[in-house]
Amino acid sequence: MAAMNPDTKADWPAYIDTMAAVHDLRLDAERRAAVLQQMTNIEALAHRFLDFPLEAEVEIAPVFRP
Amino acid sequence: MISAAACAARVQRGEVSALEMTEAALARISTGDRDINSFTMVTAERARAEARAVDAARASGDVLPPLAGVPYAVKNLFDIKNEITLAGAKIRMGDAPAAADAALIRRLRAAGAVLTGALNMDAYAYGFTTENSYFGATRNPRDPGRVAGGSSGGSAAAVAAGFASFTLASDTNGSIRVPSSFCGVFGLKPTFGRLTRAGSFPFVPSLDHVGPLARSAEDLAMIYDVLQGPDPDDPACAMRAAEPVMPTLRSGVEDLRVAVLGDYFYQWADADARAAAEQAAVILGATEMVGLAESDRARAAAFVITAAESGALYLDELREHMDDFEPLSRDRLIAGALLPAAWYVKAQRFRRWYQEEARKLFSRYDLLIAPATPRVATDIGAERMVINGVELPVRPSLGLLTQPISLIGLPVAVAPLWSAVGLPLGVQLIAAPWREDICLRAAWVLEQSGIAHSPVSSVT
Repeated sequence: MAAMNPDTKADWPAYIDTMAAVHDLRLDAERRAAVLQQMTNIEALAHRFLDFPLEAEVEIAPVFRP
Repeated sequence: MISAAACAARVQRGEVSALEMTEAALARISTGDRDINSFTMVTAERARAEARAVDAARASGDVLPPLAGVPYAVKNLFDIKNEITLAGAKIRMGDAPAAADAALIRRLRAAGAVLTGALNMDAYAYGFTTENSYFGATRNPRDPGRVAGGSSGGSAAAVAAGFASFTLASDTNGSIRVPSSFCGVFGLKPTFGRLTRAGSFPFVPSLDHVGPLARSAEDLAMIYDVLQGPDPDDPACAMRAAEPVMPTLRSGVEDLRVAVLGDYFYQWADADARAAAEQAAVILGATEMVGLAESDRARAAAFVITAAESGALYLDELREHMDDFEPLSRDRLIAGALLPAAWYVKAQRFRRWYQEEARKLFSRYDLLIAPATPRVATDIGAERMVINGVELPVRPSLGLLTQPISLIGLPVAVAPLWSAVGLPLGVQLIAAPWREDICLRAAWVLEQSGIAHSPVSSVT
């Protein structure tokens, strides 16, 4: 199972433009910059669990039961 | 405002009428809430009608239900019949009024409680400070220069200020526990799926919980017992019969195996917060400090699930009127709507793994203690805080110690302890799924010891 390379740099401005178009969200320059900041914050957090190895049988919990 | 138990007892004995109790609550709200801003709506006429119905039942010789005449209020994401459900958001103000009360309000009405209004919150429940740009910040009754915590800041402040005997709120990442800690009140976030959310506005459906706040462990237990029971109208609500906690509330903790959560839960707690957990540990007989593996990753998973589900929930409205959204959370909602799906799936899978780690811990312990917040309440408007030498953004970081626990749906009671400078600081009393009875027994023991207490604030 290959982990993500933490040194890989995503082109977030291009990603945001593409996904905003997919969702028909119109972002002006100020909004786009603010969303970029949020996206990079979330990415930093996401890497903490994205790199964590899980066995294939650990399944998603679409309806969570404690 | 006296406790819910004392209020109910006085009405039962006929020492005061429900209407007199209600008028006193309404008067206190009218004079005191100008400085606190906990209510977004006061339902005075409805409250009087409900109180008169209680008094009429008493006059007829009926046996009164357990909360007869007790004034309470709800976070403004619960449906109140004929009123608009705001969920803290300007964008909701044009919505149609609710056709019916939320399920929990119906249960409280059947128990005789009197609804006095709806309470302020962070917009959409996305925040930990209740600094709402449209409805204003709710001020902390223990120190009005500080935040009340969030997102259920109005619910905690109203109890602390004595405007209501108890309140209802929601908790997705800490929204009952953070304001309970900051305002010095008792709070209960039950097991995920224990209490019905039917008729409450969602935020993150796979993480949303609802529960009560009050000024004593006994009040929490009494109210919680009224709220329990299955409800097919909430697909996440467990089809599980009510398991009353009042009969065992005073059982003590001598038979419980108790530990303090260290590692991550100490790393992100300042000296005051650690001291609170240590005081509780002494009273509750905790003998060990243990770790819950990978709690840092769990908090990150909760953050990503929250962003993704809430962003998806609000996507259509963002498209239609983005400029009307709360500035403090708008850009996080947009980013959440754009996240890669694989991140969300991995976060949910990690949640399952972390749940198994917690299960292992609960094979060795019955009760875990942790600080509820990294520190005492921050100042209104504060952007940064320092915890153990690390500078952090205030608004997303106040839930550092609550998010891992709600990610896996564990029941938690918060008991209010007090720092050396006289500000409240809560401790989380965490048990295995469906063991709210243990959480509340521990809260009751802390209260009886005198280290946990929730007086009515002297500010108002």
